[in-house]
Amino acid sequence: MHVRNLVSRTCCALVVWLPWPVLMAQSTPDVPNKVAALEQQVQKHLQEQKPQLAIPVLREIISLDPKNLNAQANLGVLVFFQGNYAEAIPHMQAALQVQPGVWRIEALLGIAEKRTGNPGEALNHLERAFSNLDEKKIRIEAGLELVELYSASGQLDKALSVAARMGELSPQDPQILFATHQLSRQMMYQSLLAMMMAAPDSAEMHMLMAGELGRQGDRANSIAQYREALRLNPKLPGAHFELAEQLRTASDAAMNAQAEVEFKAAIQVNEYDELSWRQLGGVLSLKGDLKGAETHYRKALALQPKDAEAKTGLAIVLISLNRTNEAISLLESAVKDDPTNTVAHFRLSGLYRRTGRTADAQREMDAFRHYQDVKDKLEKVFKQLAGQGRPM
Amino acid sequence: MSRRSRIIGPAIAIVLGAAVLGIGLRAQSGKRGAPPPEPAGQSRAKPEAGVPEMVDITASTGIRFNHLASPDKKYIVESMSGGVAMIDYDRDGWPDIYFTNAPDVVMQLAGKKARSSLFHNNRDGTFTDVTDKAGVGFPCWANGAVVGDYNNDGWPDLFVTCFGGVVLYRNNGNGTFSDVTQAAGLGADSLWAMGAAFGDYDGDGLPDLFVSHYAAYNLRDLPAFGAMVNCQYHGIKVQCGPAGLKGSPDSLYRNNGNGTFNDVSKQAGVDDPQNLLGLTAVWSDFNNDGKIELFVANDGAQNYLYQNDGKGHFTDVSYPAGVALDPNGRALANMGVALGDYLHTGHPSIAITHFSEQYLELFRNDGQLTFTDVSDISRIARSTMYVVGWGDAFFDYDNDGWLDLIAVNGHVYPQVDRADIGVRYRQPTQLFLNQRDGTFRDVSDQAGAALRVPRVGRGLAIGDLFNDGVQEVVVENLEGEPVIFRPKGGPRHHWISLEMAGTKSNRLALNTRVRITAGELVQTDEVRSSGSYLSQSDLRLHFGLADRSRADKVEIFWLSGRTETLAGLEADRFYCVKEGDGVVPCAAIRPTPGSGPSEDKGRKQK
Repeated sequence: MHVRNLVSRTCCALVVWLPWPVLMAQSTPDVPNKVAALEQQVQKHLQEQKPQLAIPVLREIISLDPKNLNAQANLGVLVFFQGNYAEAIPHMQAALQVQPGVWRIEALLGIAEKRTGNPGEALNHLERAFSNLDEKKIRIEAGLELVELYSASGQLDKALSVAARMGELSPQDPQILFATHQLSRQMMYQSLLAMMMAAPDSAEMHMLMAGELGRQGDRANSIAQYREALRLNPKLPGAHFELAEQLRTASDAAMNAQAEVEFKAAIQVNEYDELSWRQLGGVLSLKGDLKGAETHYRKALALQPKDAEAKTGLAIVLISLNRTNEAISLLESAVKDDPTNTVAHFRLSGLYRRTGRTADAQREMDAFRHYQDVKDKLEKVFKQLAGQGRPM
Repeated sequence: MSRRSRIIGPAIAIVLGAAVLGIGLRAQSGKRGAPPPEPAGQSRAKPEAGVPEMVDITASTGIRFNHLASPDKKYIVESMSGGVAMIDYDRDGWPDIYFTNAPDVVMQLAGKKARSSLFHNNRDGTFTDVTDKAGVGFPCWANGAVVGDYNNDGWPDLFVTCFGGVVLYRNNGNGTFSDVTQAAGLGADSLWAMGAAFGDYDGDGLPDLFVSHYAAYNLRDLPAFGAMVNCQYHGIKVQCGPAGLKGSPDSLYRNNGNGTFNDVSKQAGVDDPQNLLGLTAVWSDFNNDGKIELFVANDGAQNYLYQNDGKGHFTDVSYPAGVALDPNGRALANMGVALGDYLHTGHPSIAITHFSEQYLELFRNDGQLTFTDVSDISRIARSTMYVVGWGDAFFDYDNDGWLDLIAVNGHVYPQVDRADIGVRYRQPTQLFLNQRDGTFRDVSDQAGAALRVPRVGRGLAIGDLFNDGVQEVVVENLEGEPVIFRPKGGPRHHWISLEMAGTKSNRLALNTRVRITAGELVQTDEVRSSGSYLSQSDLRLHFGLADRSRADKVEIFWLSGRTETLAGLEADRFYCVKEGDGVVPCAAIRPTPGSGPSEDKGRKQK
């Protein structure tokens, strides 16, 4: 994982609203008059957004009153945001010695330590700060730094835990989503590496390779690896299903025909494999075996009653069987379970129109268009991502 | 009628025709001709009993034509051309054939041209290249060709869509054509034109013209082969597009009646402000209300179905009609378009060819501008999932009175042959036999070896080339020579053919509908410009009558609103029908040779 090089805007903004009055309240009461006068100068400079003028004054205060919490803390913060982490650290440490539990200062101290090559101390301070901070923005900043530290030290489980807690705080934050994505990839490669070291000839290893090859678009080799995995362990969980999916989505008629066999094998290995029941329903529907398709979709739904795709697939079968009302009910249920299911919205719109429910038809068409638009945008992004990641 | 009886000389045919037809029907026998010799032993695999064999008769026709093509198709523009038009340009009652041609990018940038070709029907099973005399050899980077009579003079004109505009060739009536693009006001069209169709949308008796445009594409700023995600197919580097290409708007040109057109796209509401990648366009009266609708197939996007309000404006009703997308809301490739009343409901359904991993999509017309995708239940979808389809057409290849369906295929990426992904560049033609119950039977493997030869098919047109009651299929391939298929053994059933001429309606009778009743067989069809992919079929309406020896009733719904009914038309004949006058001698509807625009100003225009 890459180290984030810059403190985010969120954190930079801290110096503006980092509550000077709060820190003042934490200062010692027996301040000499000179210090008080200097503090007034500092406040003036800060109000005028001139931290560079405040810094020498704070240094002077500390030279007069080394235990001045206010001065130590604020000098630490100001030089931190000037990128002078080495100078910031002792001032923030001094402040925390005088008054532990100022979590924002502790978070900045951890970040400064991380950036000056002291990950051990950084980890301690950031862990404490992250667990105790109330303010969302600075907590996320601390959390992101913490994720990087955990990630760098191979503690991916802890990193994921922090990422999950951040995700709860701000589910839409792209920084958090990105960090989570990076962690997942790291987890994947780590497990792949571990598998290669531990059991390079295992069925599981072949299945892992097959998955990777499939993601890279190398269908032929992916299928070969799945077959090898199944040769080594015919009951390898998930292998028949994954192989079937590769076969089903191929552009080759012969391969497509083999998908059915593999889905059936998957069900033989695990009769509770809901996804295989569902996909087999789709395969049979495509073959025109509508009764068979219905049976398999219903089995899938018995195992997973909220599977919107199975409901949609079954509805399509019922439409072909002219069982319109049943199909409508299923599709209505499907869009409740998964509002982003564009196929269900589109099919439902068509059925409503046919049954004279024009307003309902329009509503479903609007929903279809909305989610389709989102999907189109996502697809575009994914294509760009894939293009960037693929050698040309 | 046996095959032997139809292979008769012109003189005998005239005598025989007069004797048989009698007074009530001033029918035109149409000089039935000798079909070309059918290749012996062409098919090693015997066709299935009951399935007429389709044989390749190209060699015997004398047609020699090569569509140019770069070997690697590095750019999408090099994969799209290949239209074929049947045009009876000399109005002798025998369809002639025009093939478009296109250079590749390197040629174009070097200023080299590709020669399109017009072949004259010699009425003896052969054709002669008359391109140079006709003056239609080098219109442009030619994609498609359609037929219309823009000046209503009775001489069918030729309209060519180009990469970089359009070309309108006026038929001079003397075997030559003149490029009147500029004079007709069409010279401003400089976009990548693909589909085009003549149709009188405003009911003034003058054929208007719609042109669908494809991508905004600059030969001097081409997307590099294989360079981006949109230039890869199953991990193989291929030409870029159509995904990722910006589309161009469409154009509707209203016929001013003085040899010029006026661009009314915007005010008519058919200008395609979304800039979709337009391919085939076709006019048809989908709901039998006497006003023609416009269907536009857009590559990788929704289709348009424009409903005509009769006042010069259209509304896209494709979504409520159910033809915008596939039934799961997916936008498919939408390339070739075939229209036909395959169910005898009186409404034309729509069959659209698509890319591989999609399927040939059949929209059943349920009336009142509502359609249902019946690709699965018609049993067409499963057979067409592994091909890239282009030209397609409904036609009654066995004359049993039920429309069958044919589609030509061929991939766009030659590179697929070097990868093991299950699809090939050259692909066989597919034929589906109407089972008369809403389903089709894929007989591609049972109809002889000729269909199974893999080709890089593009355009497809249908017509009775030899006036013997059996319809041939002319296919233009992107690479190499065209192919002409013919059901072996000629017609096995009775048939009837109608050549229509409007008087109040447009002269070529475009979008005139005919309902023909023979016993319990009730069929409908419509005269149409365009259709298939970049192609034009014979404008004559051909109906198979199975074992009925006559059409009991022929109802004609002219676009002018007039309805005519003819009764008791004997089978196995060609009839010429003039609006208001019923069946007439064909000379009565065809212009006199030599009476081109300079000599004959045509019917007085409004």
